Amino acid sequence: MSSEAAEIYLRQFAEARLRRLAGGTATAADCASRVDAVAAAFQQTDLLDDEVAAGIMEDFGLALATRSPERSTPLHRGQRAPVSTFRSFGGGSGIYGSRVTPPGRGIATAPSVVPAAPVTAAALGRAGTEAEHGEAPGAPVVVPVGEVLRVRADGTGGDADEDIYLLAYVAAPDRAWLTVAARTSENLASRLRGAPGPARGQGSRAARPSTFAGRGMTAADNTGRRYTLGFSGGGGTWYLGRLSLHPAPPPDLEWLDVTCGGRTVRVDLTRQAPEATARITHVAASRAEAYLLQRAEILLSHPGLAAADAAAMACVVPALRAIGALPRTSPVPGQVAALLQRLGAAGEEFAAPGELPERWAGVLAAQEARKAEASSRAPTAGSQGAEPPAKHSIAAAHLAAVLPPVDGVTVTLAGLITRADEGTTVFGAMHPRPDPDIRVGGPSLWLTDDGGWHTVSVRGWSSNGDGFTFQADVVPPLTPAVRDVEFRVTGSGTEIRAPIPLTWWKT
Amino acid sequence: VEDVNWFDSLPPADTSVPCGNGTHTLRWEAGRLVLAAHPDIEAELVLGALGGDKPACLTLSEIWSGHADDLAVLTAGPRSLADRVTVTWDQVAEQRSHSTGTGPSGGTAAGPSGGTVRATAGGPHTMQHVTHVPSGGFRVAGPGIRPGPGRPPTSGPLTSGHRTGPLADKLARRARERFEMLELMALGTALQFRLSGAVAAAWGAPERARDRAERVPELTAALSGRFAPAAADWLGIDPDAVTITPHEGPGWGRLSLTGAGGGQRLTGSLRLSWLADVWACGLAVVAGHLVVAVEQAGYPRARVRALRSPGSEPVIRGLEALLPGDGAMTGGVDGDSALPRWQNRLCVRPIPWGPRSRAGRSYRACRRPGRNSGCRDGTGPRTARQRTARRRPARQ
Repeated sequence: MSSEAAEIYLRQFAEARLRRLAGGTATAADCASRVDAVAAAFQQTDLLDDEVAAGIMEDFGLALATRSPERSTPLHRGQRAPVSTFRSFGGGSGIYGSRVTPPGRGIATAPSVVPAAPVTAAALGRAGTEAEHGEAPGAPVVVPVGEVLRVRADGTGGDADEDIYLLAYVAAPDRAWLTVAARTSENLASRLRGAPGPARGQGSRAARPSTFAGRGMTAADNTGRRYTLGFSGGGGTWYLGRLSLHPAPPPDLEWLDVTCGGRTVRVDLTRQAPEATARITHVAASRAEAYLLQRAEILLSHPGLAAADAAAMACVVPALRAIGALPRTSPVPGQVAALLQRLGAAGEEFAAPGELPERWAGVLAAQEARKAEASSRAPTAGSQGAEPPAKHSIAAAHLAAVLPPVDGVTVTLAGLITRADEGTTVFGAMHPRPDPDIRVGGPSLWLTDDGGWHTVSVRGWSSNGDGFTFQADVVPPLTPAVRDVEFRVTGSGTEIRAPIPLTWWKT
Repeated sequence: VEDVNWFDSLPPADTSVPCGNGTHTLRWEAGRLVLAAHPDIEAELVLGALGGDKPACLTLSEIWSGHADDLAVLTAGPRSLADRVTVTWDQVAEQRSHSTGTGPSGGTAAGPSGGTVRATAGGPHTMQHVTHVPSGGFRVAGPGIRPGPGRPPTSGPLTSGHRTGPLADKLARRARERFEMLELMALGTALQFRLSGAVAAAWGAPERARDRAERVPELTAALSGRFAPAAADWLGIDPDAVTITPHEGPGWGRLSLTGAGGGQRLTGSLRLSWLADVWACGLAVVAGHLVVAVEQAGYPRARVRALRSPGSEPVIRGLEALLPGDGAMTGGVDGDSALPRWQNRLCVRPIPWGPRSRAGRSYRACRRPGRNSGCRDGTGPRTARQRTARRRPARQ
């Protein structure tokens, strides 16, 4: 297996797609998507240099453009067909663009899982010393917060109607932020277009309402120092993300008064996360297997992508096999095929469906049970039906932990919410980025509770210094009945298992 | 001994390009572009240096020269006559207006053939053009060269905004190269094949073995992508099951057919110069034989080594092209002629690969009666008229 073999394969594959285009059996968009899927798989498994792949795709784009009757401009390069989501997902979750590290999950015949001696940290919220579990220098500290700012029209926030849930405070050496879930009656995007923020002009600040949507949140600490809070994240009615403090505060603050729309809450920064113990196990899988598993696991939380992925897998699996990156005996393609079949997206055959890994089967069973339950509760004519969930209802739990690094990447957990209509979201951060040259990425996240397995799939992210903060969907969602979870962070050769108690402060 | 070039098996080809206020004919002949509408190009260059327009025909010629050993041509260009690469001058103009429309005044981009185009304060269409022309060795420097109506290539897309630095330069260079490639593809099928042949010949030269060794993936794709359709014509094999790598060393290469039915695979190696000598001249498959090397290039007659089947020894075959007017050209676009159509002239006994044939662009010419006779003994018909006369009995 060499990068030359990967490049030859990719170029040959592109030639084959061009023949289909010339023969009228494929569209330019389909050709572009499939070649892109293979290129991305090679790149993200370190089989092909990024620049080489980009050059091939650029040349291929021109070749498609000059052959496609569907063009709008001569250099349109072919729009992507819904085949490959391997590079980016909905324009948001760049986790697909990550270099993957081999996780040990999902393989039915478990490859040499060797339990290691437990590694303890006094409190995962305040990362232990390097001797304890070897975290990267500059690991952040996370403090559970659990406060709500309710901004109503009777304050100074104009006609605002906002509920701002402050979940956790994270302090890194050069920055600090609060994780936040904010419901606002205003459209933040249109607000941002209309009102310049602090970075664009100090002069207009006075005219902005001091609301979340008006980007008028401020804070003051126990020393009297004042901060502006800048939001990074996304959403619609609910905005999920982080509020970064400007300027960066000093360490060891005692408290922080956060003000919005005339309301202020005090955030106690001396709270400790509950004690927890992390355990490290060693696992093994090839990079190609890891890549396929990561892709497949995303489908567990986003089954709507299955049809597109089925087409991409039909290109990627033979490609990885052809260059010797994926062993012929690997069970992973069969597992992926089984998953796609279960999701109703079995299209072009690339492997005989095998047995679903326990985690996947557990998640699928839970999802199907929830669907069945929901349909049984659906009101029918003449029946009362179940009471619908309260509008904008939310439950929130303390989740504050800095996990031992995996592959040099430290995962910070900083809050958890469950919304009736959106499911469960975990807030967190990874630093440093697994690969600074490309978007984001990192170890695979799972959690278990008494009810079984849950995927933790990054849905949105924002750059944050040398790392990024993220919001991840937990599928199936957690209810306030869940009191204990175990987080699994799987990287190259190692998996961290961290049991963490959940304290629901808003139900 | 007379040196013969790969392109000797190709007839001239014309294409029309917008130049100035009209349309000019650009002719490819004997491996080079001839600017028929500009007989005194030096004088026009002097005029251009004094502030006049630089003829678009000349700019295109420079772009052609600049890409004559650019492997990107083989990525963009046609793989077979069925693989239609169609770019119109309207599309080029559209792309150019889009590019210059977004380019800011004062932006900088590399110009055609490695020169530099600077947009001045006068607007994006007013340019100072400084061009180095590798083939001609002259330099044009003049202020305010303004693209005239219908003028095809003057600049690639400009960089956006006020970006500067290595990344911006790199993006500008790539954009320019893509734009130039588009212009070259707009020259039509016939010239696309001829430019591809020129690139293959340049890279296939014996002294460039080291260069080839560093670009094996691209050359493999270039060979396989063009050989595969030919192999499909020859054997009926699935083109996806064909892989050809560049051949180095003595001989024409090798071919191996394995498997059966849908599992058939054709693998092997060919000289990169096969693309120039054979493929670009429309010689790949003639009368059920795969041509693996050209023994004597020529038009309308050539002598080649051809295989009846994989694993067999190549035989010498004399070929003759149907002449224009007989429906002889194939693959034309908008009336352009693309490649000659060849047919057997006569069969010759098998001859093993011998020292007379030389790798590269030169061949020893036939010494029997007259140049390009196309056969060893000179007994075969020389022209289409002679051939027709031989087939058809004279009227009584």
